[in-house]
Amino acid sequence: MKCQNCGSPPKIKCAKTSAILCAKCFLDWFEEDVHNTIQKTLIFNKGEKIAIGVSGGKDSTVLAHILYNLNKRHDYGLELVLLCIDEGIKGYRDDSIREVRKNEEDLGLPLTILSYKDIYGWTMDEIVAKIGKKNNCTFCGVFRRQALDRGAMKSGCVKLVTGHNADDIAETVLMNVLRGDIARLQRCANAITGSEGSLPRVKPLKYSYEKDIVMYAHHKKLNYFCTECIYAPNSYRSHARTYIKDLERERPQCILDLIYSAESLSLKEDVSLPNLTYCEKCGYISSQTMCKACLLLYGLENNDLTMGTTRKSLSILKNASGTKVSNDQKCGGDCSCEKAAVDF
Amino acid sequence: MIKHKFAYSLGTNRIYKDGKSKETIVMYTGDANSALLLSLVKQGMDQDSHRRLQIVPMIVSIFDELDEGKLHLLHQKALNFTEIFPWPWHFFHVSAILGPISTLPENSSISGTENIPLYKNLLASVASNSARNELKRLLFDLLLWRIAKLCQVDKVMVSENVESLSNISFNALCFGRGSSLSDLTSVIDKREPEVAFIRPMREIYDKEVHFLNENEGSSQYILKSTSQNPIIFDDKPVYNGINHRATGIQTLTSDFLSSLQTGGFPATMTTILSVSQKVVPLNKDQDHKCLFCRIRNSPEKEKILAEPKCCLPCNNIFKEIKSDDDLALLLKIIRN
Repeated sequence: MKCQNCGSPPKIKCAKTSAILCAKCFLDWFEEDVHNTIQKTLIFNKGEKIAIGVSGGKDSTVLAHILYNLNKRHDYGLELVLLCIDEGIKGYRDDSIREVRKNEEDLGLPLTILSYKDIYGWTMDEIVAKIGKKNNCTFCGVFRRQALDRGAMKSGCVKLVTGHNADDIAETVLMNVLRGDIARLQRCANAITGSEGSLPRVKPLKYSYEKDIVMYAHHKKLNYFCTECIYAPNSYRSHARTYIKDLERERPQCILDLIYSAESLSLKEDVSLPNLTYCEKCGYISSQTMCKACLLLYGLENNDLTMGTTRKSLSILKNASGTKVSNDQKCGGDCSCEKAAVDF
Repeated sequence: MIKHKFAYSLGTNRIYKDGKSKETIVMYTGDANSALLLSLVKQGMDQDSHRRLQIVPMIVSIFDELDEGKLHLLHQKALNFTEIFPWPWHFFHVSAILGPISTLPENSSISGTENIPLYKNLLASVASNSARNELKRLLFDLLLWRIAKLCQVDKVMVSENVESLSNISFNALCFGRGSSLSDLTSVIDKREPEVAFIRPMREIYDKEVHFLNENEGSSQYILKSTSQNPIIFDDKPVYNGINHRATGIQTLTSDFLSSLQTGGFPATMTTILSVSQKVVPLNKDQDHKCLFCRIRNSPEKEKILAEPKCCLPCNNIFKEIKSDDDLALLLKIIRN
């Protein structure tokens, strides 16, 4: 067998195309593939300041390196900064932040680290100690989303880039169908998401397979942290992930076909979607009068662990005197959520 | 209540209130679902006048058995039902799609058996089980549309229920057919403008099918096994026509959804069907319909396609057909 490109001894079978390539051709192909995704989806404009969400894991590490290289090679004209969120998970996040700092050194890009403790007053370890091992991803995902937006906006960035890959998006499509979340289903495969009132997010690795990302990181000798979050094994998403892995083994094309399915559908005109507004407490974009993060924090502070994780009307949010939660109440953390207006 | 679901699906969608002909093809394949469908249609027609199901049925029986001896046996067993269901019966083999469909067969014969070798070759030349099963499903639908047009009937009742439609939805997503979810799972499917597929058993579960078949005596009309009782064919257990030892997306999907449904998430399948009802193709142009699967698709300018008038998911299936001759035959059938 020979490399299908240059004829030299092959080393890698591409997960996406099943091509047999040598290491150099694979690395070139992968970078060119990401560049083609960026060109096709028109996600960047010259002169933009972009925050790259990095966690120290393989996807964000590869993303940071590739974007840095492509920015120089193809003259995207972007100003890149690294943004990391510390959820406060001992033995997991503290180790991965070490890898993030190595990325900062290797690439020479400025790095900002924000922690849940600073923003919300709680670490994930404290939250899990309070709520147990159920619904952990609900808290972490909601908090991380807001934290990334806040961090990127405070750094003056106009877009946030994340390392979500094709496998992640395929999983998300299935999750949204299984949970009946049609609003998210409609937009989850868009090239640019979240542009309606919140920071636009883009995913340059949208069509890159996870296996190819791992191969890229390995052959480029990139350092990354590869342990699964200790609170993740019991998540609902893990069911979808196992199914996706089985699908990929059976027919690798399925990953791209799932993304294509989401891209080619729209909602019927008579389907009602939530109206977007701003949270009365912290000013973050929300479909309810109080955003999910504030709802979850309220539940933590008031020992109501079902708040935000089950269907509960906001009319239940009354304090002992029977009055509605006021805009002036803080969430308990030393952060900007005391202000009602949007400050980022 | 289970029977009410059947009547409700027909009544609430006003299927027979359109002023058009009440002639309806009722599809029968010999499995548990289609056995129940026959029974429900008969019971509906035997009701009091104000609740009677007022249709003019014609049974089209389609078999996919590849062994001609076993096929003959199935045919003989099904002929016994023609007295119980005294309507016109026509028997087809699914391989009839590979030839011209110009006349309706007498019920003493099965149309299309001469194409079984061609059909076997076509299936054998498909690279993967997943693509093979998807191709079988597409050919089945195409055959039904063509039979309906030959009979000049604009309504075809099919026996898909909750489990089969949930599986179809998920498989559609896995093959890039997300835009067709609504058409593939709704009570009325008008992908083909002249022929509507009707799914009156859309709200009925497998357990309910099994319960009614046992209690109403319609289990005698079951010729093909369900997953509990596999037929052993060439030493490989076969569940409803899908070789279970071989994998394939369809098997993975069925196992995945069943495990969620019974593993603490009992609303899984109803949620999938509910989501399917709320989505439409992004491309609203009626002119760009795939010749094979009839879904609205966006023209693919960047890709080299075996058949540009077919959608990308169908072309991905064509890519898996290893024999050029078999692919040429298939494309010729589709273009007719």
